[in-house]
Amino acid sequence: MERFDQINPRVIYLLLAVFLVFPVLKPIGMPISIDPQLTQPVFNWIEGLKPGDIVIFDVAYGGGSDSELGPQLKAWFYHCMRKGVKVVGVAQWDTGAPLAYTAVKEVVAVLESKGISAKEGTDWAYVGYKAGGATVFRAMQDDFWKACGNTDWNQKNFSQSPLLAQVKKWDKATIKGFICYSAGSPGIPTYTTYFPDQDLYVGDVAVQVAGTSNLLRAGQVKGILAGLAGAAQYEKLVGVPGLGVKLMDAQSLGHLVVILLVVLGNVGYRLKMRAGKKRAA
Amino acid sequence: MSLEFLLAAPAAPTPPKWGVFLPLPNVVFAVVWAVITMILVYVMIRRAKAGQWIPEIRKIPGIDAFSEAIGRATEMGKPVHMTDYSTSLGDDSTFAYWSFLAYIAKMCASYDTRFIVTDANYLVNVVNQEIVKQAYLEAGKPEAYVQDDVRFIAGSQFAWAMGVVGLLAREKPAAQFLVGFFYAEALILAEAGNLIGAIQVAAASSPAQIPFFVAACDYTMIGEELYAGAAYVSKDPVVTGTVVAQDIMRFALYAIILLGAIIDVVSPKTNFVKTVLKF
Amino acid sequence: MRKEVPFIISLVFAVWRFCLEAFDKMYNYKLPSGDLLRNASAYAMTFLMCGAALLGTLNLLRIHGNNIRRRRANWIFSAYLLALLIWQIAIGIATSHTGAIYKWPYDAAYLPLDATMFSLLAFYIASAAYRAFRVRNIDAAVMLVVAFLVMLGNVPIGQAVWGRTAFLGGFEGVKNWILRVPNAAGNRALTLGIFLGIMATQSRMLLGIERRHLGQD
Repeated sequence: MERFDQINPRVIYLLLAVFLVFPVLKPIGMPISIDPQLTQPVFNWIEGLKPGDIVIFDVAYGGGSDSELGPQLKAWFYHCMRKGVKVVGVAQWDTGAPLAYTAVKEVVAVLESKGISAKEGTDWAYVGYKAGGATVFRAMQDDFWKACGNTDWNQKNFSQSPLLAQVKKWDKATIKGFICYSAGSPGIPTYTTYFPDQDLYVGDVAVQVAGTSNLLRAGQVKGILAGLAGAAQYEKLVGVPGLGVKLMDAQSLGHLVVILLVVLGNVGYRLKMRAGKKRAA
Repeated sequence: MSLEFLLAAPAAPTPPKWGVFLPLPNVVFAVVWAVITMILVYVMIRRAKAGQWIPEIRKIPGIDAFSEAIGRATEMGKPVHMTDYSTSLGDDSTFAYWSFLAYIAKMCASYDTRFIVTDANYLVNVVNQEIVKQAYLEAGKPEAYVQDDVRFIAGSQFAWAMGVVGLLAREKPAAQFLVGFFYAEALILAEAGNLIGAIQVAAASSPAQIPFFVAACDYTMIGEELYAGAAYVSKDPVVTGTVVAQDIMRFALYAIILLGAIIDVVSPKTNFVKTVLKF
Repeated sequence: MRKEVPFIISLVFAVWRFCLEAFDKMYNYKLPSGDLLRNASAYAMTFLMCGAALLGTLNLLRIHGNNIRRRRANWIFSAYLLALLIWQIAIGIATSHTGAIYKWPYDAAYLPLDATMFSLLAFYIASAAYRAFRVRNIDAAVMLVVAFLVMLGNVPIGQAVWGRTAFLGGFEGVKNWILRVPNAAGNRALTLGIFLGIMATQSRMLLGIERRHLGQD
């Protein structure tokens, strides 16, 4: 039992790999409950909007965080299209801009197969990454078209999009809230600094939720989708289980493995200390 | 004149505060705070440079760990590695990093221990090279300086992290210093250091990564201990004066928070501290 | 002049930006073209970043071109880098960033590499937690217990064991309290300290006291 104090890291990695892969291949189907303080407000925001209202999502993540934030974006976008809420997408990270477009197009294909309207340019538009940093985002407040150079992700002029024709500036009358999918910097501070009076929701990687909770507590952020768990909860709320729900079993077992290893390590440590004291005595 | 006409008129713009400042919350307080900070920083630095009395900076517990780690590396005949994922030349954590870099480089030079520095920003790397070269000169060993040991790895986060991990696996340093502001690569670097058995000291100002450093490193300095530690090791009056100014502003903040909390309990409707802060 | 000119430029723009955010007249000033002054400076940032990208590209060409010309150690990687760089620039200009050929290296190489590196964290967290969470003293015990509570509060298995409707709101309720009260307090203290450090360092740069970033004499 003392050997548990010195488990080889390779064994730890192998154990974790098995417990992560197994539930993906054979789902267990553990029930997912909705967090009333974090996830529910995000759902209520979209649910409370009227068809035709415009919201903005911002991509502030890269390839590494796509596994957590991609499912969040997809579930949220599906919800918006189903509700008839119009969506405009921008990106603070150049590395994440193509990811979000790909994710949105995947959801569009699903929506169209279900007969839900999701026409680019009319129901949603994607502007993508515009160089200039947070100050350019601030300029979008006053003149969205000029700040973006009048071109969207596909190099089409804004005037060709009926949706973007309505979005001349980012004021409260035009935009009914933002959601920032953030994995680092730049990200949430752009909105808390330059858009303090707008409703801000956050899709966050799990590691940052502890820090973003402060903003939630202060009222600067209205709701948080917390990592993959947040994605799974939102998918459940929307009624379209996807990657989030699928991987929650794996996350549960992964956490259990870590807890088990920590307990075993402590048992081995205690026994080793006791044996050491006995030998000394 | 009919009332409907008045209702149709646009709202009058909010007048500026005190005639000049933006009519937005927190603006005047922010300007006043910024100006006071600048004045305080200037005064404290002047006093420190002139040798006048300023409050002393206490010894940060993690500082001894630096010399302990370098001593261990020297005994084992293995190199020392230091790294920082600095996002730009003007970042505050980069300046603190440079103080630690000069301190560690000088110690390594005097012990004849190989010192490897890696960076993810080529502009910062240029300054790193100059700092390390200067440190070797001050230690009286300019010929021991190897420019190739102060390397720019890659600008991309994980490309840089992978480069550092590869370097750790090849060079197997006995000591690793992780100083600055880190993102997701923090745990990768720390665990890679653990796997090769290096003693690790972290001084990080990134709140999200501090738990990982605490779990994976032997010694961790958190938050503003990075800046205080930089002041302590460099003994540079500029850095010392800045840290003292920071501490004075910190006490002022504590006083405001405490006063505001008490008044909010006693008289929540007329909390003048909140009103001042939001002005 | 090598240090003075960059310092003056940075001082002028720092003061300008500071005044732009503070003073009403500057914030709302309209240029003859009709643009707001604050937005014109934002547009200038876009040009600056494009200029920086060009500078970076030229620098890469210079450094790696030298490596190849002088056949330095590992020069083949410099050749590989330059070949990829020139290829991507040419394809991007020819087909735009949404073209399939342009996107292919990103989708096939960059994304999987990025995701792989990020996924290493899961395994490293497990080994770091196993090694670090030893109950050596009261602090360590408290950290261990809190870690368990937060971990179980995040996942369905924890909610199945001690649900929201149970005492204290179950693992989830306890986790939320931990995040919103003690964690928020500690995080805010850290953030305040870091913010003060940032302010003080930027003040040094603004006052011209900090010049290390301009190079040594």
